[in-house]
Amino acid sequence: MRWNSLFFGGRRLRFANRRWWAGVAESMFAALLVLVGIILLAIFVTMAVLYSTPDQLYISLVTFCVQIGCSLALIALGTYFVIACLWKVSVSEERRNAIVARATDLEILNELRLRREDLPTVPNHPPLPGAKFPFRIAASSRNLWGLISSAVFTIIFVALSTILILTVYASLGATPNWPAIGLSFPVLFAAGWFLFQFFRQYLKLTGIGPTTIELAKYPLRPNAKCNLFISQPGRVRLRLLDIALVCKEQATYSQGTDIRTESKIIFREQLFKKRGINLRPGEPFETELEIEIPTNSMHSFHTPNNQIQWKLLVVAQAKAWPQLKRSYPIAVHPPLALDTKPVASR
Amino acid sequence: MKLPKPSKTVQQPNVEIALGSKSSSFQPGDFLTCEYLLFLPNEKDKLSAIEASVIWYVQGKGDEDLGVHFFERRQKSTLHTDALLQPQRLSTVLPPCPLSYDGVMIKVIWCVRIRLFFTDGRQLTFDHPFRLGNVQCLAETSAKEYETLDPDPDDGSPAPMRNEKKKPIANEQKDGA
Repeated sequence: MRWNSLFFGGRRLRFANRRWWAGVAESMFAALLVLVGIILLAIFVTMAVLYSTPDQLYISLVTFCVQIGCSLALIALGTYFVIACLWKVSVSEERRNAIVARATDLEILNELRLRREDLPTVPNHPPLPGAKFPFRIAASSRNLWGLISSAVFTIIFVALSTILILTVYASLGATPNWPAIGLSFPVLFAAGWFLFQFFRQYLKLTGIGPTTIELAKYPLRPNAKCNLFISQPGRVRLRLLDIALVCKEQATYSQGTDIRTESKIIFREQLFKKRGINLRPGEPFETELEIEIPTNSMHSFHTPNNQIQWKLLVVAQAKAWPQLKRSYPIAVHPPLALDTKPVASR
Repeated sequence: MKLPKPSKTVQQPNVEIALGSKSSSFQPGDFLTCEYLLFLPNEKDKLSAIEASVIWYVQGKGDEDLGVHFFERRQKSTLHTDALLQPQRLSTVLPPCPLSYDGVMIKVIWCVRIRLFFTDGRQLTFDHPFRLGNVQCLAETSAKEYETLDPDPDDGSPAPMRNEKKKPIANEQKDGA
């Protein structure tokens, strides 16, 4: 059995894969820097707390400041590299250029802003300038929440477990610190689990690139067709790419002292489904579709407690990777006044 | 526009509301006209103010949201007994949104609302609903698809709708209650 059969399904190691591994190694190294920085910071602070007296530090103040400074520098450097890696892989080149171009005012977006003022309950999902079609739909910010929350919990639990281990280590010569020993096991387990979740989310974001969705017309209206362009970059072989148009009702209500939110999908139309897509760096999968909001359907609606959301849902699944789900909220406006007049009744 | 005659058996204050159109369905940009007639059988029912409004509200599983499109308040000083015997009129151009909607968890309802304020602190509201636009709930047309759907990744699990309270024609409130 060749060694590469374990990793690439028997295919030969290609340049693209080497580049992919280079990207993964770069991002892993950045994450490792953050981790080492946090562990060192926790060690230095714990040692200072354990071995110092109220009057005197166990080492000189300068040494302590250098220790703290070094660990903070490692955290800052690692964080910078992580953000740089994420920016590189999660933002397309067109978008980076568009962000620069956005500095110059676009007349077409100004028109949209003016028109929106007349529709106060219709949520504004402002589009960005697109490359193929005029409007690019921004992904929901919720897609990043998983990564951020797992990163925060990882930092907290790694720091906690480091402090506990140091406390246990310090007490080994004398009476064992049983509460610290007992607590260290679940905290270590939690730290490991959150670390695993963080890398899982991180690989999801970096391995399967950001889906670019562009529309020929925006906002959408019921009974109006519109061309849709999809571009999916990445470095893996997708087992499945599924894109659906979804309408969802969401209601928030108070129950006692709790505030609860419930939602229900009331419409779903599959726009695209394909299996076995090879993604290579520089060769994104691209296709054009036609989208139509059903006749007489409700427009997007947003009030403090109730929402009707239209969005495009993208589901991507690669072998041995966690399933990736991304949502792209779109604004569906009510039909123009002339369109709503019945033909002969009035 | 012909207002229905108030029933003689009714001894409580009442307001009869009639829309200027035969149909209670309107389109965005339509001109809504409405007449309302007060019926105050008891002499002790003295009004301090009347509020006439064209509103929409959201009813359903979530907490209620409300928006006011047209609002007019007539204070005691501007209320004359003779004027109250005549039908009062309001008119407005209807906005482009939100359109009336009868969904699974959310219902957007438009209505003309007359609120009476009495000198003894009581309040009475009278609603006359109408439809704006001709939106249909997509769940009705795609019920089969909807039943077999996987839950949205962002969503919680669907739950049955809470028992909906039927809105009474007149709601009585006390100030400071």
